[in-house]
Amino acid sequence: MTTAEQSSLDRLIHEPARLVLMSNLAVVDEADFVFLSHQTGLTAGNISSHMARLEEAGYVVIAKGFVGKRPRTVYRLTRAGRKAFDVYRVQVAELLAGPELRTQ
Amino acid sequence: MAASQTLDTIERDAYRRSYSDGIIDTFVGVSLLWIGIAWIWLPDFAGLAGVFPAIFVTPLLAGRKKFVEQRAGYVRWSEPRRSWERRNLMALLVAGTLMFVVGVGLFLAVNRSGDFSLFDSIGPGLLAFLLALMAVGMAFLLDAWRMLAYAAVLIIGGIVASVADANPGWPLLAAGTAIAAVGAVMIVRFVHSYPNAAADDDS
Repeated sequence: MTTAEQSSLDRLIHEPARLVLMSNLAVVDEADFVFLSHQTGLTAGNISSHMARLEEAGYVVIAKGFVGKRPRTVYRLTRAGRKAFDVYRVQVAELLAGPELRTQ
Repeated sequence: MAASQTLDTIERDAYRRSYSDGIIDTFVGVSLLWIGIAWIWLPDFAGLAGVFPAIFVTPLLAGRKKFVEQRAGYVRWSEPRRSWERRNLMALLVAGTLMFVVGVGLFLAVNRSGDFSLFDSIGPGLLAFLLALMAVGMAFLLDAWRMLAYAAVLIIGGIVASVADANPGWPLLAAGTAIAAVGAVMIVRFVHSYPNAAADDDS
């Protein structure tokens, strides 16, 4: 992989908190805020701001609603979001492929 | 996120955690306890004892879903996971039906032949053995391997009851007490780990 190709990694996904959020959403159909906060350990503000960025990019759909009187925010990866995540996984796997680790 | 985590383990750990609330365990334990008590001290109702857990199971599962989602959050699993759940549930239903058919067939065959030696030898533990098989099925269905430990407790109880020629209710009572205690501990741990979210912070 060339330096140019390395720099073509999707920076939006590459950010650690967003990568964790995308990873958790990639393995389910949809999940709400409470589930993601337990899964990731991220703070409420972090989840909100990163999800807003992912929504702007068209990677995530955010649905706000109520269950009884309790508000619930549900997140789901869009088709574009899943595709971008798959591309990112392939790129990172190629980038990190190499000889056995010496520290094992 | 731990370095050793993969997408598969993220999903599997989350799925396992979604059944770590202990409500099903407590329900199974209390049901066994009740059936055991009925079998020992209320023999006239022993045959009907299983009806009560059957009546309560649907409202209990609905209440459990609400309880777990309020605390641990809502998730809709991926299609492969839901398909896996459906397959296992179907397998459990088929196994349960087969067990019922085999049990009725065995009962009729023994009744017709008049040879009760088989029931005399394993009869006291038979119910515990059949319930142990169900526990093994639930272990696969819920991806909850502690159910295998419950099955082991039922099998050991069944063997002891068979050898001691005890009332069939005793292994159920013993296993039910142990399983309900484990379930109660799990509920306390779950409530402690997942305090009731006052509100969705992203609203």
